[in-house]
Amino acid sequence: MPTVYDVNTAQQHRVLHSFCYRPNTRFEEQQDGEKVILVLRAHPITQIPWMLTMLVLACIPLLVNVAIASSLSIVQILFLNVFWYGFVFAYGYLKILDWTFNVGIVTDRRVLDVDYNIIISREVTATTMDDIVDATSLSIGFLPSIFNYGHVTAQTPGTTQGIEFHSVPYPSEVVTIINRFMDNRGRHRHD
Amino acid sequence: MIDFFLAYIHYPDLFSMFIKLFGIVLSFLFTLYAFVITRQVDVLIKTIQIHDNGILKLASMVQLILSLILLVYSILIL
Repeated sequence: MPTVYDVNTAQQHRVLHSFCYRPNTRFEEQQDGEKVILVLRAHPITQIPWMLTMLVLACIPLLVNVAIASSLSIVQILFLNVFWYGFVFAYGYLKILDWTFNVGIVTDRRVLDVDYNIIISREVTATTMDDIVDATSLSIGFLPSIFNYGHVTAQTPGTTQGIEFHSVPYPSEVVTIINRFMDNRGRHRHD
Repeated sequence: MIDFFLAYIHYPDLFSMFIKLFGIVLSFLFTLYAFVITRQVDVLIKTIQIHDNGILKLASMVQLILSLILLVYSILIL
């Protein structure tokens, strides 16, 4: 029986905080009285490639140390090793920051896509529920089918930029939630 | 001035001197990077509230401390 996400559903954090329903969170662009309904991150399974890369990078000194032991002093080898592991740590930390702060947010009024490039840039794309004409989900491939994740697109009319959430868990549930708020806003407009 | 510099680096060979300079430059760049990331994490945490109990901030501080240790190590010991 799938979970129904409606007004009676309590706060939920699923798939390692990549699908947070009614989270107790705030963001910079939040308006007065605006309620956060969903906070979405990329599915954790999509983070495995960089973790494997980290693992390989962490193993490199084990091989290199043997090769350079005869030509460098202990002090120099120690420096190179500590520096290397510092570099590997920095790489992993940057990836974690990237995953944590690149979020999709659905509120009762808007849909926002927050993209951070940690050192260089920050881009927030937002559209109101009134402007969304269609919300669709797309899940293609072997892993997305098994782990139930995919892309969600909120389309806006004309040349206005739409919102796209990449590789988020439960894409069909996300679309259902967006549609519900689109319907609610439409009903308010007609009343 | 040059004598002082040469006395400071008192290395038997050019290779060791190269390793030291290489280490100092790399450590300096790593420290710079770690400092920028620490500041950036402070900004990010203010922009989106995440309930991580300060783990991200702690990790950025660990990275900064590690980079400073490396810088000191490369200047004084390497």
